[in-house]
Amino acid sequence: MNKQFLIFRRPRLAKVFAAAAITAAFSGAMPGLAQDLSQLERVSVDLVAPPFVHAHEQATSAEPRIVEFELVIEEKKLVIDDYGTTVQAMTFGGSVPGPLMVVHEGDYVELTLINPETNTLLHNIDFHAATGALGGGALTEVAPGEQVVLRFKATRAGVFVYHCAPGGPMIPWHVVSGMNGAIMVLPREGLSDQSGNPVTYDKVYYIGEQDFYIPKDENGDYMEFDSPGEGYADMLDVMLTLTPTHEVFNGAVGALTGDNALTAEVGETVLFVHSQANRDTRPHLIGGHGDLVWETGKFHNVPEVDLETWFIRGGSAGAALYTFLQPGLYAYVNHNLIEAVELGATAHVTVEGEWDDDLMTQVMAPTPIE
Amino acid sequence: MCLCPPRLKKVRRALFKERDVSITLKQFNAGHLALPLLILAGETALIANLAGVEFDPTQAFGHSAPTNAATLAPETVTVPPRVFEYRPSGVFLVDGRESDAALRQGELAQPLSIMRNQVSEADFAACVSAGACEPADIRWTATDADRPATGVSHDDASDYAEWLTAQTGQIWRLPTDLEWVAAAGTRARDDAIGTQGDASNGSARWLQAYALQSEARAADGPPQPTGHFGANEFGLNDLSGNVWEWTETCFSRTRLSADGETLSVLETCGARVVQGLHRTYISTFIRDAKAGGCAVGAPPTHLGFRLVQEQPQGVVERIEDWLSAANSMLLPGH
Repeated sequence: MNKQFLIFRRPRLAKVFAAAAITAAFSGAMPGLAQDLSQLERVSVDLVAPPFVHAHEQATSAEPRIVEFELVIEEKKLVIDDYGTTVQAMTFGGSVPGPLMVVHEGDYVELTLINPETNTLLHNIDFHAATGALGGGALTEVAPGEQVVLRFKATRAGVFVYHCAPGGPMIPWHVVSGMNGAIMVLPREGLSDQSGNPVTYDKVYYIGEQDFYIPKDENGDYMEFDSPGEGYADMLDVMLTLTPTHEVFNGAVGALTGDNALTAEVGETVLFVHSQANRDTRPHLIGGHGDLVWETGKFHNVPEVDLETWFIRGGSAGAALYTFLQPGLYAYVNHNLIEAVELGATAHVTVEGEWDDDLMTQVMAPTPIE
Repeated sequence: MCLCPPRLKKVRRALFKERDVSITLKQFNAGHLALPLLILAGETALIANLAGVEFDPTQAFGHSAPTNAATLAPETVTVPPRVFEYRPSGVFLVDGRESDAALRQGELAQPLSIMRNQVSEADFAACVSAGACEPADIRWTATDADRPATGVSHDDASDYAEWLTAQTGQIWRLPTDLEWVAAAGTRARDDAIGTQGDASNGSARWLQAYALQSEARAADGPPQPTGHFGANEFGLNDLSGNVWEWTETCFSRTRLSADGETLSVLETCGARVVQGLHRTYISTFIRDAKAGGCAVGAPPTHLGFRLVQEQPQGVVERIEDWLSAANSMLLPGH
């Protein structure tokens, strides 16, 4: 298995270095086209692990600025279900999905991408929010022991996927090993409803949905590997079935349930940002709705109202705003219920507050039929 | 918790599994039509309504096939007769609102002979090899350790009990919820939610129940080797570890008036009580109670079981019991 991988990897490396040489030539010509950014304010933001999001303004009166982020790539073994099944995950910042970045339209995103020498693979980052150079992928390829800085202008408002895309068959493999996340580019004036009136949220939860393809051995047990490369060939066989063995939120079955369930209060407005970098999904809030839904995730489109279920195309992110009206327990699921229940795509929300009898009441408790 | 159809398939399987014994019965009771009628009826819903009278040839004939008694008979401990605080299983509605059942005095009147350990993977594998049990749904990596059998449904546990009974000539069955609580002693967890809720807001009780179940999820992870969770005061191992145990007790819903008078009790045997870190109710065919499987809640990590050994009755009494039960079901005018 190792040998296969190495044979596979050698020509890849040669190709990557050739590509890097070409992009280096391009990038050398590019600074002349850029504006003078030296006068812009710079802010440095510490990212936080999903489902939480770093503090940010919704509407801003500030001038466009340069927002600095740092992502350290971590290859590490993660447990992804209650049975102790593991994946040799590739992560942006140590979590699956990577952290949600928030900026405003017109800001510059300046990312330092670090690939520590403890890693084994080449990585890069492709921002769907960015323009040119394969979303930045062609300018950010880093080998273990390297780092790179990319700056792009956030010209389109919305939630967008970012993911690793190091070329050829490495692309889907890195993405389904967990190497993806999202960025939210807010309009400078904040979000607006279907009539153009401003709307705000009390909190954001970022749900990154991940399909995993874990091979099984001849006994039917999930296989465990000591390095990403060791598992590549077997994992590829499962990937080619297009049938995931796990479909999870936040990197593992049950990662957003129990003690880690999301919380809210009656009257609170929550923005659910949902990304899936590889595969279609259809979020649904059991017992609630999407008051305003940007199904394709782009904020200058008129949001849809009163949705029951919304569709997130593979390779995109969407956003749904909801104000909780009843206390109790909610399940936020991928409403392919097989994927929700059997494969893991379920989160829970515990909501406290006063019950509204007008919205719902149990007229008669369960009683034997007369 | 979700409910399932009656156990028709299971009953039919039990009927056809013991053909040799059936012949004996015909000879023993020539001219009596109960058995052929019962076999025919096995294809209909009628048999599934036998109200707890599952045909069990070994129980009818006791020591008919004690082939492996010495090697297979599990190690048991005896729980002495005792009186203890007991909160009945099932859902209780007081004046239409879901409430904790009132604590009452539970009594174990006779000594209870119960397996010291949960049925192990190796024990269960023997039943599978014999063709009497379906292979369990084991979803984690095999080890050499002696681990409890998990990934087993109530139906699987019943198959195992039936097989063990046939092999040993001793009568083995799942404990009732009350027996389990009696044997668990200090390891039994009271499932009172504590928040009776006010009539206008049931959500506090839902949230409290969710929080309590989430605590029990601390027992996540693969099944541990037998003995890992230690023994209770009666010497039973691994109670309320991360393997929950099936009981024979059916799900029930009891309606009480505001002043405590019982208005109705409805039993549903498609779901049974499962005991462990928290008490819950699971359909008899479920082998793995996943998160969100039937409701929004935190389910048992693993499903396993242990059996109690019933003290045998005389052969004649048991045949009489069975025939009279079969007659009363099939020939109501009798």
